[in-house]
Amino acid sequence: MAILLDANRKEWEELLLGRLQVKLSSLPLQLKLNALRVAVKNSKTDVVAAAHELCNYCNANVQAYERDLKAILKNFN
Amino acid sequence: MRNELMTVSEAEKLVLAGRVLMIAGEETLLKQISKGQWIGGTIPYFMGSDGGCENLEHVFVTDFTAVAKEFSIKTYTAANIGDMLADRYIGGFSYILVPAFSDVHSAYALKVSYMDKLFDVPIMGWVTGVQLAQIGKKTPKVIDGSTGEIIDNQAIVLHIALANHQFANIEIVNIYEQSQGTELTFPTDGFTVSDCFINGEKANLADYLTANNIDCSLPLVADHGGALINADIQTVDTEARTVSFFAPILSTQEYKIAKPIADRYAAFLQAMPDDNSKVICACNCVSSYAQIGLKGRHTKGVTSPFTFGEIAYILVNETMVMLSLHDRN
Repeated sequence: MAILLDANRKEWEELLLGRLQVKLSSLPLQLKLNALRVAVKNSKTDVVAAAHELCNYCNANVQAYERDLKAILKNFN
Repeated sequence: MRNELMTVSEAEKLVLAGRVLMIAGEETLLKQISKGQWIGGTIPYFMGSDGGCENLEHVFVTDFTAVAKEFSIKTYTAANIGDMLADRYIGGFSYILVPAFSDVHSAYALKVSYMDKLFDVPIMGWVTGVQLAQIGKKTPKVIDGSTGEIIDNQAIVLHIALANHQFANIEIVNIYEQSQGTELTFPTDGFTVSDCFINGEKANLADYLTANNIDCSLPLVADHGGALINADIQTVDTEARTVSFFAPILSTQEYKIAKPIADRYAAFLQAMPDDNSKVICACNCVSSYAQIGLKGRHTKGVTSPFTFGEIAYILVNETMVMLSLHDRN
């Protein structure tokens, strides 16, 4: 059964705001995070919407980003 | 996967056999190849099985036939380059070739980088070029092998659908890191800049690089969510007080000059992953060929063209880009 990540977890917003310092290894996730941070900084979106978008992006690519998700979400298995 | 230098007649046999190919080489060689299921880009620099080389007699071929469940070949102008995102296969990847110094080169770098869906499906590829001595004399081209058209103002993309059990992943190898020093930001996006902010103070970049004797073989480096992305300095015009780059400078990023590296080849080998068994194609930068000193040297068995800019979703410089395939759980 596919894992479904919870968009309401605080780690997404903390990652976007730079409060959660995680060294990501996956290029597309790094670039997606950067794009969303820029969008939030330039008021193109708000951090709640960006957090949902980031979570949905990870949900579509759980296997590819597994190592990074373990670093972002403490109880991710 | 086949990634190798070969004669035009060997490439021709693959084309006539209906293989799905990317072919890189000198324009005069690519023009000799029949119509078929291929895309091409001009460049005469390669990492072959005998090491890095300039080669005007052979073409470099990547054969995607074994992994392409479906495919399409499409061209895009500067005006509609964003449409290529919607043409990608979900669960596949796209391989793009863009002629250097063209409008579509700028459009891809400056417009597509900001598009919402960019990161949903892997895009890798490269900026086509010419012999370094021919810059300004010949235009870089792409070739639509399906029509035989030779183009210098459009991008060409090979969109590939993978089997359901596979997915593609793109990774980069970049030897450069940000130095601890001066922070550079810019008021606008572009390939050529003049005004900038140095640690928040308004200044001119050309003046700064000249006054501080900065080694312009070192790129500017920006941190994109942990991915270090280079912009390679092309020229510093002290009279016009402008600096031009091979990749765009973005107003949304903070840049630093790269840290100097004593032995760039050793650093490159150290940065390369040990296991490249899942890599199906790659590209590397012609600046790396020159600056790292890759002529006659190897890159841990990965063969590829050396290009005028690499695309790993976004346009990057002095970076090796590798696309690998993996089985879904």
